[in-house]
Amino acid sequence: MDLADRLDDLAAVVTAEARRVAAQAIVLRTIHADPHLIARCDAAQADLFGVARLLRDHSESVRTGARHRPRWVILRGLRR
Amino acid sequence: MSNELAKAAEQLRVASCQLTVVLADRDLRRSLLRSPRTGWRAWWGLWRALSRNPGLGFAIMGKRLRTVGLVGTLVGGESLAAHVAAASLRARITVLAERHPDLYAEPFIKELIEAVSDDRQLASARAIRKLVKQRGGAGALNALAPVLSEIAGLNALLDENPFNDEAGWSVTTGAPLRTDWLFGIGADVIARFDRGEGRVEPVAGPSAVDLSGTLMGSCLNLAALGPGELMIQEIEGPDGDTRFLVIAPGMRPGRLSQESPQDFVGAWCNNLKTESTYARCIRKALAASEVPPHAELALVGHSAGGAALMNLAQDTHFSELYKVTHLIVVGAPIDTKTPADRATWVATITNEHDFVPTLDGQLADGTRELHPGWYVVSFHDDALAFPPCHAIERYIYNLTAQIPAECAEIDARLAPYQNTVLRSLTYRMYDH
Repeated sequence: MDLADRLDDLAAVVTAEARRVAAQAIVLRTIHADPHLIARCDAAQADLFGVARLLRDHSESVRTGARHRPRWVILRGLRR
Repeated sequence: MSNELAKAAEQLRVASCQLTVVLADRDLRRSLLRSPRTGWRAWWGLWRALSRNPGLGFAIMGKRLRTVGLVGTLVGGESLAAHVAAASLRARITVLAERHPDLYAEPFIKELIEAVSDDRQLASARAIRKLVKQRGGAGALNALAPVLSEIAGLNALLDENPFNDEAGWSVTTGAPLRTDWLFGIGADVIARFDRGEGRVEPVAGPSAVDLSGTLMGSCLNLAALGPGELMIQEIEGPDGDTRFLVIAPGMRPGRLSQESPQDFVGAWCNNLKTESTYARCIRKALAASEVPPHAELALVGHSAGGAALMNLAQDTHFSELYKVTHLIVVGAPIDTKTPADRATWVATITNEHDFVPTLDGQLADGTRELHPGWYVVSFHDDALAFPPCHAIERYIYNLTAQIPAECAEIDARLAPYQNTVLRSLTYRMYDH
């Protein structure tokens, strides 16, 4: 499997887990659990959806071969 | 509500585990070299999501992820899943406290429950010290018994020791206990002391043997048996068929490790493991008694003996060799295990102030119904402290004075074993 495809799979796993956490936040709300726990669930799922997006960006970056060039490489290019 | 919280906690724990797997993924690490800027941003985002406080938290599961989880837990924030599980246990304690109003009437127990719930470990230790000073060690255990597993589970989940978290999860979810509650010492470590293939020798046995085949008769035989002994009765049932009644006593007081498996080490192994020297001895006693394959067995045990019998009943090979029709245990921790043969009729008899049956992390008649098909007899008797409240003699008194109807119900179930006792064989068990 291509590395970029593998990263897409990992992004899908993170998305699925973010949904799982979101579902648990709903369960906690339904049973009127401690509001701190609900807030933590909400924060965790928001974090995870963000991580899934970052992973997809990363896979896209790997796929297109857009490598981050260290600054000294850019400076060497300018000198030329 | 406690069950819903436990299920939610389990789901959050699965999420933590899956995300810890992603964080430790080899391909993700490899990709950091291919595109470091986006890669590190994603990896750091995931690390932050798991480690920040308050965040989701790491999961310490499996062998490969254990190190990642431990590092993450030590440097990161507290696990959300553990906090939801702790909320579930708090809800259970509330329900149990309503059922046992005497719990909150005792100020030190109330103080202890509140301190453990709030993760104030110094205050918990102080409350335990006061309780022990007031009632003695055995009295404190006796008073705490109805909520002992919940308090121990709460402490395991919320304390700073990540090695005992698994024990807290076992209490929350009803999964078999694999470590101790305080330090997180695994069952395998304790099992190293339970060496020996097990050996049995026929002995004369007690001078007076009850031949009724009833629960009370079996309990009287349990009380009459000497140290390290077990009994097998061959019975011709009312229908003319031959059946066998196996009677296994519990742990004997004395040194931690004795020459028979009825010792402290054996009791822990029967509780935490599925195989033990005691169980092997019972197998050998059945073979020595020439019990034919596919014979019907009723297993009656007290304390560690009950746990050993449950270990045999849940073994598929044993269930293929013999037909276990009844498993009746008195004061034994068996709630996280299930017989291999679904047709086996299981009865548990538990004094709620006896802490031994809660050593598997569950109370037979607790707030969660782990085995709807079992016949669960749970009663209050706080007149005596441990160990007398756990003794078979006390349970004989309880069966007669407090729960005679339940005793009669079990006897009715044992009717196929109540006719003529053809043989009563007693064996002495040895570790080696």
